[in-house]
Amino acid sequence: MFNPHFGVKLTKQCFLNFSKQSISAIKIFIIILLVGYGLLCPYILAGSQIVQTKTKITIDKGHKIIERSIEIEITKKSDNWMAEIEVPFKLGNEPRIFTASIFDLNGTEVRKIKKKDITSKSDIGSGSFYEDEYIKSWNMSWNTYPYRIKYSYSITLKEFLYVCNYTPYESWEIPVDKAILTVELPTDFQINISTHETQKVDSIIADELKSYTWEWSNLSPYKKENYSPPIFESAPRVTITPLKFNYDIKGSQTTWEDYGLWQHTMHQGLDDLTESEKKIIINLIKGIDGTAKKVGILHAYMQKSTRYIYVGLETGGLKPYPASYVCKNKFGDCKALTNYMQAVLAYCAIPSYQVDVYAGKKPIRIDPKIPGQQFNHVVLAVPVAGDTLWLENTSKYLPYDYTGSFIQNRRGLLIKDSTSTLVNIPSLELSDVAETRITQISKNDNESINFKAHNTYKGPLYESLLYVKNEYSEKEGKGFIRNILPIQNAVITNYEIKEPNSKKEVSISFESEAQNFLTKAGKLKIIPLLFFELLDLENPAQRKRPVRIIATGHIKDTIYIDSPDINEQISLPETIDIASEYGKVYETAALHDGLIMIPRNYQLYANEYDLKQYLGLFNSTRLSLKNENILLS
Amino acid sequence: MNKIILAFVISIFHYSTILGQDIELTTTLTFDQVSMDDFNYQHDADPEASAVVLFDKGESEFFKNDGLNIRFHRQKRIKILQNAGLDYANIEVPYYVDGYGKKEKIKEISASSYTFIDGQVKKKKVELDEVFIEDINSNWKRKKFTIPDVQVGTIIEYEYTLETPFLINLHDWQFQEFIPTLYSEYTIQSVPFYEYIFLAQGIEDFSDYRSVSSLTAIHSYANVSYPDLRSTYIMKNVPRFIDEGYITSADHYLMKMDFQLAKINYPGGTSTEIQTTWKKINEELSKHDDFGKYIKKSGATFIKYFDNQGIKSNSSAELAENVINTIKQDFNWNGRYGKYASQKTKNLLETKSGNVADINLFLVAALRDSGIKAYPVLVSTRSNGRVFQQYPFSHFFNYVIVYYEIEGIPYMADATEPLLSHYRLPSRCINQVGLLLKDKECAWIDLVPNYQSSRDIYAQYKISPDDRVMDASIMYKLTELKAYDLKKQYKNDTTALIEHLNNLGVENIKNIETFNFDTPKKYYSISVKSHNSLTIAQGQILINPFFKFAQNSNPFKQKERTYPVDLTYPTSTSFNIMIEIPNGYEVSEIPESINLSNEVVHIAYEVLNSDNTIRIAASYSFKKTVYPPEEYLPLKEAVDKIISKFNEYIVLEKK
Repeated sequence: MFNPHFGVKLTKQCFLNFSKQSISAIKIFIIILLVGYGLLCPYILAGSQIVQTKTKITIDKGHKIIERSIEIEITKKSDNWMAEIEVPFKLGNEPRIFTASIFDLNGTEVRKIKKKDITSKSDIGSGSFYEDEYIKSWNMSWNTYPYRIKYSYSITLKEFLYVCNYTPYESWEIPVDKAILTVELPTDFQINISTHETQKVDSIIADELKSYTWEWSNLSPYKKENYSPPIFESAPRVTITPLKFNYDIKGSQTTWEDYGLWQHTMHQGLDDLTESEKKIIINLIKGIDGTAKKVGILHAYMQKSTRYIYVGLETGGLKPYPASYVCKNKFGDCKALTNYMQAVLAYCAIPSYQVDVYAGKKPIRIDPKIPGQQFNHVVLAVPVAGDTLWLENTSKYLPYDYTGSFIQNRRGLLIKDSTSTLVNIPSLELSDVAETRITQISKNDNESINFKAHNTYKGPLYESLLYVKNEYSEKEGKGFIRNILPIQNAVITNYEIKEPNSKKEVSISFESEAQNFLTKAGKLKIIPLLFFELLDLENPAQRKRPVRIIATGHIKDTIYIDSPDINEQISLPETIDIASEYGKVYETAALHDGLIMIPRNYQLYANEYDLKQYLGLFNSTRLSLKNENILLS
Repeated sequence: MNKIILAFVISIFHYSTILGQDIELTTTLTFDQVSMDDFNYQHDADPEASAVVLFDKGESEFFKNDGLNIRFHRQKRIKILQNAGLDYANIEVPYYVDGYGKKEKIKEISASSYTFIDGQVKKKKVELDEVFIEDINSNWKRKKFTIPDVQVGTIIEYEYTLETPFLINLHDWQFQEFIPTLYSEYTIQSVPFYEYIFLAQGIEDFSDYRSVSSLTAIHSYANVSYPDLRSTYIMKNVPRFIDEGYITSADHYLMKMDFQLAKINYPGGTSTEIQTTWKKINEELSKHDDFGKYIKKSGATFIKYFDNQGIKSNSSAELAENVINTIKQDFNWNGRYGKYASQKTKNLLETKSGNVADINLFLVAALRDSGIKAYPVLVSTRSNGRVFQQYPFSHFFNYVIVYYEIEGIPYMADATEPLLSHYRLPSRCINQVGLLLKDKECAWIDLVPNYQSSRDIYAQYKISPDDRVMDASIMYKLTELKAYDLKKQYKNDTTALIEHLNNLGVENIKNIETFNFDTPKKYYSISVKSHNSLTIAQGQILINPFFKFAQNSNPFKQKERTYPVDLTYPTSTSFNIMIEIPNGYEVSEIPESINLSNEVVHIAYEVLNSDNTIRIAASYSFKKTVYPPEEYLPLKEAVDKIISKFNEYIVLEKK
């Protein structure tokens, strides 16, 4: 079924606007996988549940021993996927499976899983080329309902950055009747603890051992909600990190400065550019003045000559390959490419800093109270003339001086020897994301509709279109463009994607013909206004969690309609002009020289809206959903 | 001495790919000798190609290693033309491990990139420690490596050797890929002991063919001497395969050679026909431990099993239904295909879980033991490629279903899908024909359903112009595979179904009920009450009576088509709509009634306006499931017609 908590693997993220594998895997145990669960598991219906989980984590002689027992009740056949058990592990940390049995309604053991029923296979994420990750899996489904499955296992880890990052959920969609977490540590083992929504704590401190216990009961499942913060942020959880650890080298995560210092120290000596690479670099910037220009040239060189490949071996999840590896192979993951880029800049006497970040369009917020590994990506911050360039090193297309939608508006950890600190990566502003669309609609004699459009995209669509321009075939490109247009049944006859120099935008000019765009109503013909929505939100009655808009939205849209059927008697949609705490909506229509002109302007502000504000936000987004029509007679 | 034979069959198919314009081959065909011609080469014939295979050469030969084994050696050179082609530098070579000590081996991997920079060719090699092994499952592994220093314009080249003790696995050869291929060559060594036949798919003629026998190179095995005889098949200028959508699978059309071991000639002079007729394949399977013998053993086990289950029924039809449904409920499909059972029946009964063959062969036994005539049917799933009835290759098949008869009427079943009616097949099985394996004979049976899978929408609308709302009571009824598809996708989760209906234009759903989710023999229906905003323009009420339940987007956007359009199974959509005209309003515009039937589609649209009520009875269905390329344009036009007709508005105005 799902991945149990421990040794669970990082969810790989993939962004269209990078290379295919863009977000790299800073691989750690526990935290990030929990986030992935909700997305991976199908929703299940009421009935089946986690009856009980017991998790015991012991730190003994520097090793972390995780012992787990899980009991699940399955009430119907369609929930049998929950009986597909998977325990991920890294090569060298093979789990020991103690028991695995199925019990019928009467509590009678009807089947015991044998060693031969358990198989192992590689577990390589979709964004990775290779990893030494494996999965042990076995099937515990039965044929009379309800039935229960019980299994237990243990894993011992020699290197770890977390004692636990635990949530009592196995999957967000499965209710939990009872969950117990016990952590036993030597009394001199110093830790940092952060809890959220925990129900009960017992702690015992004896001479040589301190023990903590948490319990949860009757936990309801979570449902997917659009634009909600990641479930992990609101779910009950216990996070414990060791203040001192040994992961590749000794380190501390007492403070962010300490954690940054560990990374900084681990990176020492990894800036070993090859001599031939140094020659290329020097030649590239010979005669170039200005730091920003140099950075641009060097970044463009890296984009052209390298590609994203993730190979995760041993501590490869956290420690970058050295710069010489990238020089030799011309590939690497985000850590390797960022380390290489930093070495290149350093060789040119341009200081830069690695910044750990939780990348993605729905990032988990960094918890500042628990210094440590809370990230899945790394970029480079380059101070230039009082400003900072945020270099994304895995994309072959994004400009060096562009802060992408996958890292904007969040905190990151800037690594700087013993003065590492959390920094704010700036947000994309309205002017950074504004889409401008000008569409001319004209009716042909055969009742089909011609569209001529010139659209300019910034922000997330700019990023996507750069990828489309460079990676897609003409057919795929047409398909993508068709999908972002508010026109159904359009056959795109030709299109052109242009990327104006030095602007962070892409323009598309295209012509298309739509056979069924004009809808008949007897003698009347109906032109639906080109429809789009900035937010797709659930009905307020169904909403349970707040809304988090991570990226500002802005669309400026003008439609011109030309048709012989237009006359002075035509009535046009009413003007809407509303500004609120959520954004702005402006729509109007006017008749000029036989042309209908419809300018529209929508703005949506990046912010977090609680449930009290939800209704207002929902209603304001509906204003743009009026789906007005123009009638031609 | 036995005669040296390499038998082959070349077949010409309707959808063979037309070779590209003749491009003069400038690349050297020698590995490790990249030339300036390679760097200068631009594939002008197809500017969209992300990469081009400059050459791809394979050779299979036999060698002594505790008996004869096969050594397959491949050399391939690719030029990267666009960034999108960089992934061709990531190489994966799968190999098989039988789990009983025999396994294939990948050896002698060598791979390099060549990039022309500043007037110099820079070569980078893959180091051996950068070749990784991935365990795909207990029988399949793959070696994988990525070639370093690759950018647009780079030439990549790699070679490897695969040694296999599985003589049935003479390496197949694919001449066509999703990028163009300038030169593709496959050479096979013949030995007197093993005869293979091959099937050439999508190939009208090889660009070149040669057979060379060396009288000087004499081989010897088991005291038999034989000359070195090699046959070489060459294709040049093969265009890339373009997936046009609505095809069964690319594997149906790619240009390739599939090999099958046909006969073993023993040194003593005797021989064994491996597979020469479908009948022999049937005989072979009937004796196979994991097929025919599995069915027999299942029968014995089944009697005990069903004694415990206590199935009762009043008729053989009901008995069959009960047996099939019991097995569907009792056993869990592990998602794996296969025509051979993967475990003993005892284990299946213990684990309640198995692959397709485990479950369906057990079902054959269960039906037989219940007194019902039942037989296995071999199937090639849609993703597995086509079956050529004229060529008896068992490897065409990757799946097995069940045929049974009730009072002389044939039915087919697949016990892996509990959401499907007991005598229906999932769409993955709907691929031309299946091979019915009766006791001593076999026959082909059509797998394409002869029944419609329908979507029927019943709705009543009540309009409140002052409130600008339209209240709708809708029943969305689905049958057969349409019901199965929706059930499988949404699992009867009402939240997900509401979202689905929202996407079909139904707003503000207040009540939702579903019916018959667990009764696959019956239709599946969803009943909702919704509160929809009313569109009023220029004082007139506009009603789209079908929301977005009717087709509103044409998937056929190309101007022409090379491959047939395959809709998988017959479908129909119907509407029965009743609209109450609100007081003070009358009909201003109403769609015309039509009845259109041609070779492609049937469209009926009848509208009545009386007693302040508008009634619409409308439907459309496609006449075929597969349309040849020449019927593509009529099909495209028919879809346009459906979209146009079924998205017409009704207009009400004030009296």
